[in-house]
Order: sequence, then C-alpha cells, then structure tokens
Amino acid sequence: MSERLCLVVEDSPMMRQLLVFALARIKTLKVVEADDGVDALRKLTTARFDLIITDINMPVLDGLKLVKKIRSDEVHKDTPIMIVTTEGSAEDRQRALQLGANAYITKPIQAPQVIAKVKELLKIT
Amino acid sequence: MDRRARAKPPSNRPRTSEPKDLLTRRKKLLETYFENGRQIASELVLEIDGVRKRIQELETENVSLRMQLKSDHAIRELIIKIEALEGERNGLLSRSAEVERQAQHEVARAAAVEQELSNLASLYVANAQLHATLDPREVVQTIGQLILQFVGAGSYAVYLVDGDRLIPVACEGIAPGELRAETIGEGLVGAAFLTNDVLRVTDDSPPPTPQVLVPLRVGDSRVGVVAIYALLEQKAELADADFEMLRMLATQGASALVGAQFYAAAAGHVPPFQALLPREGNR
Repeated sequence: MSERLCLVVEDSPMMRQLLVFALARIKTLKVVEADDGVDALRKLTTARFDLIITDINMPVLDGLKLVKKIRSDEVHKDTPIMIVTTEGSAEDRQRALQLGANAYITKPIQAPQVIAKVKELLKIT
Repeated sequence: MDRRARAKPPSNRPRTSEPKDLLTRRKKLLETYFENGRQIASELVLEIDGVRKRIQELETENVSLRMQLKSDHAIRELIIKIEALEGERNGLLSRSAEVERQAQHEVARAAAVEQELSNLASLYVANAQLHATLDPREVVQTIGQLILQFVGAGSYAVYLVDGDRLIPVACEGIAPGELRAETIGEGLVGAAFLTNDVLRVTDDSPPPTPQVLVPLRVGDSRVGVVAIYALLEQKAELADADFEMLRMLATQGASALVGAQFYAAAAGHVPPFQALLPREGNR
C-alpha cells in the first residue's frame, strides 16, 4: 500500500505529540507537524497532503480560517480535513463542517477513535 | 396271372354297397371332429395370446418393480446421507457459533488493549511534556494544558503554596476575579493541600466550587493544588483513566514544578558535577 501524507496542525506540543503517537499506529501514514495555522500554510506549499488534522483554537490563524483557506487552495481543495478541538457545542461542529471540514472530533481524544476516523477518511483498512 | 398285377389299389369310389346313413354319419363325425379341433385350436390360440399378453404385462411390471426397488434403495441411501449431512451441518453451525463467540471475545480484548495503550500513551506524553521544560511558567502552562486537553476540564485553577497560603497562579474557564488566595488547612482547597490523594468533591455549595482537587506534592514536600471546577461540555464525567492521569500529575507535576523553580532560583546555573559527588565525610 502506498504511503499517505498527513499534516497535523496543533499549537500545543503535548497534544501534537499525542496525535503523532496515535497516528504512528497507521504504518502507511507519514506525519508532518505544524505548530499553528501560518506554519501549516507554509508546509502545504511543500507537498501534496492526503489528510489534514487541525485544532481550532490556535494563535495567529485559527483552525476555521485555515480550513477556509485550504478549501480555496487548488491543490488541497478536496483533501479531507479533520478537526480535533475542545469546542464541543453543536454550533461549533456545524460551522466547521459548513466551512468544509470532513470530520469533527472533540478533546480529550481517544487514540482508537482518531485512528478509526483517519482510516475512514483515507479509505484504508 | 401275376399277384401284383392282380392287386388293385383301393378305390376311392364310394362303395355303393355301403349304407347311406353310415356315410353321412362318418361325414358328420369328421366335420364334428374338425370343428372341435378348430375350436380347440382357436381356444388354444386365444389362450396362448392371453398368456403372451400376461407374460408381457408381468415382464413390464417386473421391470417397474425392479426400478422402484432400486429407487427405494437409492432414496433410503439418500435419507441416510441427508441425516449424516444434517448432523455435520449442526456440528459446523455449533463450531461456527463458538468461533464467532471467540472472535467477539478477541475483538473486545483487542479493543480493551488498544484503549489501555491509548491511556498509557497519554500518560507518557503528559509526563514527558511536564519534564520537557525548566521554566516554571511553562510547567504551569503544561499542567493547565494537560488538565484541559487530556482530562477534559473546562474550568480549573492552579494554586501554588506561598508561606501559609495558596495563591491561584493560573486558571482557565473561570474569571481570575472569582478566585482568591486560600489559607492552608481551611476551605476545600486549603484542606486538599494537606491530603495525599486526588479528591472528588460532593459539596453542593454554589459555584465556583471545585469538583475535583489534586494536591501537588513530591514526597513530603507539598507544592500546591489543582482545582477542577467544571468539565468540558462534551465530557460527561471523569473516568478511571482520568484519575490515573491526575494522580500522575499530582507527583510528576509537582516534581517538574519544583525542579523548574530551583533552576530559576539558581538563575539557570546548573550546579557543577562536583556537587553531585558524595560529601567528604560519607566516602
């Protein structure tokens, strides 16, 4: 199976490390980290990503603005985006999905849940 | 004269000397005899035909019976085979159900193991991050992030000891103005400072009243208290794994904090290795 590329955008080093740990269980997935929205946009120009996982509450460029920018990017406009956030209200979820996110997971995360959702988005078993 | 010449063949000419009624009688007798013969022959022919027909019928019946016998035998064999196959099928179904049960058990076990691994990974990452910095402010920040993102506390405060008081140095989800310094040994926070384990509070006092209190201590050295006031909207309650995380925080968080505070107090100067050698009197 070919390797897939995933961008993890998270300003909390602890959370980022936990996500990377969880994603390491998917052998065909290579992870690139970004520590905020601006860093993410920079990294998006360097490669074609198969999946983007992003937090919402980040400094400089928050996750929802990032989703909007990604959806207007020619290369990544159809790339699956998964939100991982502490914002748990139905309105937040609705807003994120309307902006173009494909999945919305609330913190605290469970690694098996994240792995299952990633596999679903990438259509891998 | 020659005798042979003299002997004459019998003549067929009726002897006109025989009486007429005898001739008639003889003729009648012959006719009757031939008629009877004819009748008997006819009857015999009919009987033979009948027997032939009967033989044919019997032969046909025989063939049919033989086929039926074969068919009955085949059916009996089929029935025996069907019974054997049904027995086998029931055995297989039973085995299949057992395998299904075992598979489900294994799936449940695998899920439990995955969950356990996930919990261990969280503990490891949290611990590593707590000790990844020697800046006390960053340690406090990390404690806060841990409480928020790993445990799911939407509202919390971190109190650190200062003399006989506990000062709130960081908070999230609660206005700083709602917090005040607590006296050690008094109130929920002050009392929790003197305990050794994570406390679940059942107090019905009006907010802000902490739901969970985590005393931060390293051995006998007490450093502070983390108070959790409310959970995130999507978090219904704390699970066993969350309390494990909080117990880890109680010791490792305190240890990281103390280390960072000492480092800061030493103005970033790490003691030379000689300070780590045994003292003169102890050699």
